[in-house]
Amino acid sequence: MKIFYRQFVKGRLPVIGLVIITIMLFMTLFADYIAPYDPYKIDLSERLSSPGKKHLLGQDDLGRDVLSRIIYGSRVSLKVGFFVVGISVIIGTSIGVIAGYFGGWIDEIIMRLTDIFLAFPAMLLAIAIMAILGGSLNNVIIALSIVGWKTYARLARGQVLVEMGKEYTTALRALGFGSFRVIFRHILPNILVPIIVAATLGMAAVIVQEAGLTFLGLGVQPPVPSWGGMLSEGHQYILKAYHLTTFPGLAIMLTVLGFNFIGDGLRDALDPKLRY
Amino acid sequence: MPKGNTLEVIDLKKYFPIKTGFFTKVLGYLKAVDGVSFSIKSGETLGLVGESGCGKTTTGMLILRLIEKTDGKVLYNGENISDLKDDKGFRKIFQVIFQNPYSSLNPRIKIGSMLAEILRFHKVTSGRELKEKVKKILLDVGISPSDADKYPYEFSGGQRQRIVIARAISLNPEFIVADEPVSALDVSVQAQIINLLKDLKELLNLTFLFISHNLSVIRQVSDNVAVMYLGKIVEIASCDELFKHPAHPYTKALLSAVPVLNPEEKTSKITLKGDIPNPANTPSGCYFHPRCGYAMEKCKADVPNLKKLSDNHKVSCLMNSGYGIS
Repeated sequence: MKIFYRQFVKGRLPVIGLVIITIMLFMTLFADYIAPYDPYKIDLSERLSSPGKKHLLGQDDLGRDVLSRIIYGSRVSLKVGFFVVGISVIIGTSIGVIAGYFGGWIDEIIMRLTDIFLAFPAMLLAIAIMAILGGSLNNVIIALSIVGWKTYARLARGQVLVEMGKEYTTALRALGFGSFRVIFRHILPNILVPIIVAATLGMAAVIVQEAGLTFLGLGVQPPVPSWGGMLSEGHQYILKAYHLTTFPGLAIMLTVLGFNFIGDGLRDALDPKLRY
Repeated sequence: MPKGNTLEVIDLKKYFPIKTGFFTKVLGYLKAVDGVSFSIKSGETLGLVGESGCGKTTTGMLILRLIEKTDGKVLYNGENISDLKDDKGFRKIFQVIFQNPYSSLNPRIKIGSMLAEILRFHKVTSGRELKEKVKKILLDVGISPSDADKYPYEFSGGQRQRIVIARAISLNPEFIVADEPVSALDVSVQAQIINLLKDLKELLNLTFLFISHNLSVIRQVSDNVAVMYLGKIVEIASCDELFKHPAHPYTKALLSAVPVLNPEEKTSKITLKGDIPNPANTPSGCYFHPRCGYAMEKCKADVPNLKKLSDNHKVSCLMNSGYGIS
């Protein structure tokens, strides 16, 4: 644990990432108290006004406060991020572990299915699913989970195969331990580290995907503030009012960077494989 | 304890199908273990030697039912255990020690909890006695009971192998397959582990199948020795007999490769030509004939069977059917 901490802190960037994400989480949880204005309050008299003292990041095409909308918009991004990654990891890992542990035709069928999903452009599939389900926060989570689990399935399967190749799993079978016990008590703890790293990096990807879907009008519907939605609404004014697109864009970038930094840091700190 | 044949292996076979892909047909079979028969008396050790890839480990795994057999029978005290339904009961009697002490322990579980989990799982002890029992097992293998709360990476290779042995004896087994238990250790530690195994064998009245490619180790621990070549046993004899009067050309070659301590002693090294043939594509007749220095015409056609030379010496070589060479 100490070594882990030292490694993690040594990189500096992971710490920056952690700070960014902590701020984001704080924003999300306490949006009601932090946001200077009501994100839905329309003030047509001050449409597209530039950042200034009163409105730090300016106002949008309906005169709503951009800063407040960004703060509230973080809810959508982080919620989608956590839920999609959570669901994908659980489904993907279960499928991968089953494929890797039982092998044979179970493995063949599951992995060919995974290959099909891998071969399909993720964004295209997500768009298609959204078109069928209709735009809403929950549907975004469903669509992105459907396209997201495959990476974890592959990863988990590979890691299980590595563990299965080690003699301790054979010894456990020689002791008469059942599959359930071997998987949950012995194999899972050993494969968790790479999955956690992948999940952290996956969080960044999911946030970008969500913004993409919403930008295309398929995600969270207006007037609910979301970063992707703000980009979408603001892009027609990009020449007149840069702040409508720049700041939500920056918010996305910072969050993605934050998760990537943490992910990289975790990988470096945990990678020199548990000294056995 | 009556000295009957405790473990009897009869015509054990394991053929691995060779396939190229998902829907393709089976191209052939890799005969990893091809009709192996032997028996071990209670409290004795059978040493199983052979080159790598000759099926030693597969034989061990088949006896332990860690891989499915293709054919054959394994009898234990006269009971056929190879089709047994009672898995838990079987696992308590048969245990295994592996070669690599670095990968045979789960790196995330403390050794004390590992042993406790086994004892609890098999309902040997529970509650307060559990801790005492774990301590006792650790003491039996020469690990300080105060180390029970350590993770495997905190131990050296030799200590880990002791822990692996502790795991194997924790359920009071009767039969242990030791698969190259000392090959991964350095020589001084090897001796310690061998002595530990010998002591435990006396203490717990264990029967061993001791798999190794190291003849000097085999010589130290075995009562009987079986030599394997390409999935078949080519010679089986009591330890002394085998080392003094090897009958099979392959055994002779193996023995001549063991370094001799006395520099005065003259040795004639028999060097084998070529590699061990592909077990998926075995030679005709006697599997050993392409590499055998004594090969005759009939060796290419006739398959030799294990034949009795004396009371406790069997060999599978066509030369020994009429006239001996020794």
